[in-house]
Amino acid sequence: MFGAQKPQPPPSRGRINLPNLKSTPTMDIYRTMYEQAQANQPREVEQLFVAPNTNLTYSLSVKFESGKHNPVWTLLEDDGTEAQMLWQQESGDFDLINDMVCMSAQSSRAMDRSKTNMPAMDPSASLTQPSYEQQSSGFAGGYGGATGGYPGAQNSGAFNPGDLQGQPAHFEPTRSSGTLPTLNQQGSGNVDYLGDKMPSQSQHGPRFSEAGQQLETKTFEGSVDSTQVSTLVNSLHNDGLTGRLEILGDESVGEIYFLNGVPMYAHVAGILGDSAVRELITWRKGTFAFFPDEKTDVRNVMRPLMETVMEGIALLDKKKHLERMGLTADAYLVKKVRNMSETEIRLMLSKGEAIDMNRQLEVFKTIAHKYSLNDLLRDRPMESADWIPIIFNFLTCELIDIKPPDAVKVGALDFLGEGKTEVDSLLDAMVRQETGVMSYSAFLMFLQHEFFRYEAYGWPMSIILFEMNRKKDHDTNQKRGDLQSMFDILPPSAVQNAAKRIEMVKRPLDILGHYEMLEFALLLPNTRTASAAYVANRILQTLTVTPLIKNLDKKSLKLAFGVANLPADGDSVQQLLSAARAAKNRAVEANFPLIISKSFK
Amino acid sequence: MSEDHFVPFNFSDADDVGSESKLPIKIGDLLVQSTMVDQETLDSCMALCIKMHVPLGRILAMEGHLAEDLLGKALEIQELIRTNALSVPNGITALKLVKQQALTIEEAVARVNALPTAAGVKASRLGDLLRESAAAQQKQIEKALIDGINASLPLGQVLLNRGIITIDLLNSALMGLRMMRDGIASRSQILQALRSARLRQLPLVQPLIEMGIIEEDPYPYSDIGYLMFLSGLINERELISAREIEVTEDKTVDEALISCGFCSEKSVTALNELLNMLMEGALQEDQAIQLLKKLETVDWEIPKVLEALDQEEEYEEEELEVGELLKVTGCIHPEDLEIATSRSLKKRQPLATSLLESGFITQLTLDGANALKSLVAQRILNLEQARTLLAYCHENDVEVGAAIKDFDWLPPAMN
Repeated sequence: MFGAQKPQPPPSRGRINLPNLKSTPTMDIYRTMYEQAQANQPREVEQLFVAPNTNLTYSLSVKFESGKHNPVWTLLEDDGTEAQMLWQQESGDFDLINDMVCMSAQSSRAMDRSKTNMPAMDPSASLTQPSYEQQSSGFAGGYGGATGGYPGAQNSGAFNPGDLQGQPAHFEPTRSSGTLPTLNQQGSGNVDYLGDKMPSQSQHGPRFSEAGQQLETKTFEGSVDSTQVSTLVNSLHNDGLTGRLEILGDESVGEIYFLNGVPMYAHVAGILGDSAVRELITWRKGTFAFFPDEKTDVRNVMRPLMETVMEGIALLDKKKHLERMGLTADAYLVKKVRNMSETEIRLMLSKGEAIDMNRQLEVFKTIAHKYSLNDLLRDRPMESADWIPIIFNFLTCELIDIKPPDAVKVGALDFLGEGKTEVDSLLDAMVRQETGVMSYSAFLMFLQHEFFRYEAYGWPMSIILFEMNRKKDHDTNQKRGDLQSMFDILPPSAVQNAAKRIEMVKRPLDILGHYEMLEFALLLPNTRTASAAYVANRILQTLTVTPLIKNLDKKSLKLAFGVANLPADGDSVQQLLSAARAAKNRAVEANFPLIISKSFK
Repeated sequence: MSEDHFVPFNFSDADDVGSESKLPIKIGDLLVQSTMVDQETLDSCMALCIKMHVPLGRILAMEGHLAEDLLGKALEIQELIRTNALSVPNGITALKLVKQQALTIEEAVARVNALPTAAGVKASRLGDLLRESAAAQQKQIEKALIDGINASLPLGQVLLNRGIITIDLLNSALMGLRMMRDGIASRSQILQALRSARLRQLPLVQPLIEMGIIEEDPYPYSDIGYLMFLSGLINERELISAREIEVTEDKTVDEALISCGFCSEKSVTALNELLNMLMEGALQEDQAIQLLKKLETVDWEIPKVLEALDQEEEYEEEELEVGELLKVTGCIHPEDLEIATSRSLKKRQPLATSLLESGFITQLTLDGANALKSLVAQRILNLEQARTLLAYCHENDVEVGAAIKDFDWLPPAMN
C-alpha cells in the first residue's frame, strides 16, 4: 500500500562537484568546468583542490548567470578554521583564470607559512601522529575568555590543551573487517529538498548503492566514553582527513563529513550544520567510527570549527555541572523563593552569564510547582544549546534548586524495608481482585479521612461519581426506555483496563474506588469543582479513545460523570455524595455525559 | 476443544513431577498469574482433580471457571514458553491480552514481542521518531509501551496521558510518519522538520513548507476521519488515535476508524461517498458537514438525509441567559445577582453593566460568559459544556479559548 504513487524527486538544481585535486587545476580542468557550467545553466560547477604543502583548501567555482555572456568564477580559500572569498571574476579567458588561481594559491601559501611559523603539514599525515601545537594555543585563550568559570566545575575556565594531546592514543587503526557495505560516493546521496545531493544517512537507510556494492573500510573506531568528541573532531581536522565520522549515541546517530580536514556536512537527529557539530561535541556516550574517503556534495557547516568546538565544550561543561548538581530529565526544578518580583529576578540574573533576559524570565515563569525538566521542555521546547545555559544561570544565580526525582517519587514508607510488606498487603486487601479497583468500603474510609481534613483546614475536596456500562443495543438505546434493562455491566477485564487508563490520568493522591454496587468514584483532595471536571473530561477521553476491550468501543460504552464538591455543594459527606449522584443521574440523560453539580441547581 | 489439551502433565502439580519440573511455568501458575483464575479456585480444583484423578483443565472447565477455548490458548502459550519462543513474563502478558482483548495467540504474541527487552526498545515507528527528534526519552517510551499494552492504548495516547508530549506534537509526529509512508518526505527531512516544529511550536506542515519539501498541506480532506472531525462526530484526540493506528499498524484510515469503534462498515461506505462528493465539488464543505451530522440519525442512508435536508430542524436546547449562567457556575452569588438585577432595572441599564459596576464579576468572566453563550447559540458547544467551561474559567482565571483548549473541546473551525 505504501509508495504506490511516490512523487518523483525534483531534478537536481545543486552544485556540480568535480573530483578533488591535490594540486592546482590545469587548463583542461578550467575548460571542463566551463563546459559543464554552460551545459547545466544555471548550476554551479565546483572544483576543490589543495595547495601543495599547506593546510589550505580551495574551492574554485564557475557559474553562468542569466543575461551574461561570460561565466563568473569564484575562488574561496579555507584554512580549516574559516573560509573566505579571495576573488570573483567574470571571464571566459582560461589563461586569466589560471594566472589568478596560481597567484592566489602561491601568495596564500607564503602567508600561511609565515603566520604559523612551522613547516606545512601533509594533509595525508597519519592520525596517530597529529600536530596539535598550532591549534591548542589559540583554543585555550578563546575559551577561557569567552565563558569564564563557575563554582564546582572541574573544567571551568580554559580548555586544557592536554585533552587534545592526551587522547588520540585511543584511536586504534583497524583495517576493515570487510563486512560492511559502503556508500557509493558519487551517486548514492539522496536528493534533498533543494535538489542538492545529500549524504546517505546510515541510520535512516541502507548504505548500499544501486550498483557495484563496495566494502566499507573503517580507518578507526572507538568509544566516545574514553575519547571526547571534541578531541576526535580536532584530530580529524588537524590531520586533514577526508571521510565520514559516524557517532552512535544512546538515542540517535550523528555524522560529520570531512573534506581535507574541513567539516563540510553534519547531521544528527534533525539538527544540521554547525548546531549538529556542537550537539555532537556534548555527547559523552556511544561509539564512533571513521569511514575514509566518503564525501558529500552538500555543505552545511559554515562556521570556523574552533568556534563551534569551543561553544560545544562550554556547553558540555555546563551540562556536566548541572548533572553533578542532580539534574536529570525527571529531576524537579524548584524555585528557591516564591513570588519574587520581576525586578528581583532580573537583579539575580544579572549576576549570571549574559543571556537574553526576557527569555530567561519567560522560562523562569514557566517553572511551576513540582516541575521537572521534562515538563519544562514539553511546555517550552528548546534545544540543549538554549536550555542548558538558562538552567545553569538559574542555578548559579540561586534562583532554583534541583531536586532529584527519587526524593519525590520513592514511596514514603520504603525506609521500612521488609516491614512495608504488611502495609502493602493491607492495601491489597482493600482492592477488589477481579477489577483491581479499591472496594467501596475502603473508598468510604478514605473519603471520611479527607472530610476530616476539609473540616480541619477548609481544603476543598471533590468527587467524581461515574458509571461505565455496555449498551445492549444501539437502536433500543435511542428509545429512552428502561435504562437498567438497556445496559450491561462491564466485564472485569474491561474494568481493569479502564482502571489502568484512569491511573495514567489521575494524580497519585487521588483515590479511585468502586461506589456501591455498579458505580465508581474518584476522590480528589484539595480540588475545586471545575478542576475536577477537567479530570473527569480527561478520563472520559481516555476511556473512549480506543476500545477498552474487543467489541467495547465508544459507541457501545455508556459513560456518565457527575462532579460535586465541598464546600460548593454542602458541608457534609452526605450532601457531597447526593450532589454527585444527582449530577451523575442527570449526565446519563444529558447531551454531554459530564455534569458539574452546581451547574444545574 | 480436543482431548489433546488434557495431557496430564500440563495441568497439575499432582501430575508427572518429572515432566513438570522441565516446564518453565506450570499451567496452574500461568492461569493464576494471567488472572484467568484466582488462587483459591485453583487450589479447590486442584484438590478435586487429585481426588478424582481427572486433569485440572477438565475440572476448571466443568466447574465453569474457565472456558475451554481459553484453556486451549493457555496451553498453546505454555508450549511457546516451553520451546523458548516466549519468555514467562511475556507469556503471561500475552495470555492476559488473549483473555481481555479477545486477541488470537498470534496477535497477542506479536504485541508482547514489541515490548522493550533488556537490549532496548524494539521497533516502534512512533517511538523511534519521537526519540530521535528528542521529543521523548527512551525510558519514557519503554515504559509507555508497556503501559499501553496493559491498558490497550496506543503509545501516543499513553505519552499524552502521562503529559510527556502535547497533542500538537503527537499530531505532527503522526503526520510525519504518514508523509514518510507516502513518500512525500524522507525520514531525515521529517526529523528535521519535526524538531523545528517542536521547538517553534508550529504544526509540522509549516517547517516542511519553509524547507521547500511541500508547497501546501498534502492531506486536505484526505480521508473520512478528517470529515468526521470537521462535523464533530469525533474529537481531535479520537482522530489522532485513529491516525496512530493507521500509520503504526499499516491499516487504512477506514480500518483504523472501524477498529477504534468510531465507524461501522456501513457508515464508512456512506462517508466515503460523501467525501467523493466533496472532492468532486458536488458539495460545499459546510453542506457536507451538515449532511454528515444528519447521516448518523438515519442509519447512514444518504438518500434519506438528502430528502430531510430541507426540513426544519427542531432545536430543543435550553435558552441560555448570561446572568443565570454566571449564577449556576458559581461565578456570582445569587444575592449579588439579585442586587445587580434590581440596580439594572432601576438605572435602566444592561445587567452586565450593573454586574461590572458593582464589582461582582470581572470583565474576563463576563466576556467568557458572553463568548460561551454565543458558542452555545451556534451549537458548537452544548449547555453542559458551557457551564463546565465557565466554572473552569472563573476558578482558574483563564480565558474561554484556553479553557476550551484544555478540555479539547475545540471545534475544528477554531483550530
